Amino acid sequence: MDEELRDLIEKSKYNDRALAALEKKLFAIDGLAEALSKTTQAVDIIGGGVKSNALPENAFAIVNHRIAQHRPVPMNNRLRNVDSDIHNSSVSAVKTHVADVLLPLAKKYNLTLDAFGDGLNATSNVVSSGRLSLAQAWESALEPAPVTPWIDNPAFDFLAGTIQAVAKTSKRWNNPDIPVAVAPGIMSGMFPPFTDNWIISLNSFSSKSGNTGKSISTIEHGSKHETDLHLM
Amino acid sequence: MWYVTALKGTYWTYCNHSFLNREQSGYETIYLIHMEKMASLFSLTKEVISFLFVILNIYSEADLLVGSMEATSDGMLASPGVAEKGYFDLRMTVSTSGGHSSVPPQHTVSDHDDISVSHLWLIFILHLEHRYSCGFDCTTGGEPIHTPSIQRTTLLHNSSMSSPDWYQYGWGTSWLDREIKIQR
Repeated sequence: MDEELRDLIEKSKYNDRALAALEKKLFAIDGLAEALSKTTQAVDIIGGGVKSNALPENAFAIVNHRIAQHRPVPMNNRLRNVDSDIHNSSVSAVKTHVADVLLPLAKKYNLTLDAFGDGLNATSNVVSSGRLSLAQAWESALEPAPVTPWIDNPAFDFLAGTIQAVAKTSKRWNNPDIPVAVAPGIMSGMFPPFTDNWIISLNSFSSKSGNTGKSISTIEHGSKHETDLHLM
Repeated sequence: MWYVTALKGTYWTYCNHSFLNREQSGYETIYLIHMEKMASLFSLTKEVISFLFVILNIYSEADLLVGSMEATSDGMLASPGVAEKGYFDLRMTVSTSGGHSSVPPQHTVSDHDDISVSHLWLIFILHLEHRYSCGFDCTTGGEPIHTPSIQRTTLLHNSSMSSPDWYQYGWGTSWLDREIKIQR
């Protein structure tokens, strides 16, 4: 491990500046770590219009969000004593964020904004030019899962020990002396029916296969896809 | 008929009985265990079989993790997921009056403030993406981000901060006496 990174990890346990520096360095090394640390957004489906010679009356997009595990309250909100629940990392926070971002645009273009069932007349005119609707697609909302305890947790210890034992006797490497680290990771979030960690939150560990490699983070760790469910 | 795919052969090679069928899958030997035969052979109760089922699953899960471990300069790293991000799909719909493309209605003429739904759509999407490009924390103002995205209170359990070795190899595996420390 890079010595500077190792020192930052050590200092970050007690020092906020070191924690921020660790974040910066970690993100520079591994972009996937940044994505896993923050709420991400991807516009995945776009559609609209019915004919090549007709101006579309409707257009839609499906925007996929993976909601960060942490629940930070921005410093400026702390100072303003704003209700922290609104700005927590949650489904409601994402909804609030989206509505906050789009409301000024709806006003600018004289549209009525329907944000998740709350009709907001963003227009200054009596007659609006159109409508912007925001809704949840496919009943897909799922809050970030509670973090499974892993410090001084016999279940995690048992799994970690098993992993080490299996690795050391694996035919993959034929090396009983191979050093094996077991560190907690985070899942990137899945569509609710296929989620892992929500099943039993207190002692649920999920395996990850097809890792992308290159990550040196022991805080968070990426995967191309998730497999199976593990309960203890 | 219950079958459990499980286990490394290393642990179970002595179980070469009729209830066990061996298959080769990738690097590992996979065993299909006929649970009913196993139960009758050893006169095991359903409870014991259930317990074995759990144990087999743990080994199976461990094997999956071993298969996905990555190499670092200090050894191999396995990361069982202890947390999972949330999920939300947003549907955005813009509706305005349309019209024939050869005769655009007044609200789509470019020198007016109002523009067509196609243009609106691009604006909304680009605006959303721009606001997210600086991270979720900076959406409430232009002030610098004071709160790091990596939170001590998230994946790092509070009590872990009291331990100087929270990131070291071999955490919590004393039951196997296989703990390995980083050579600093």
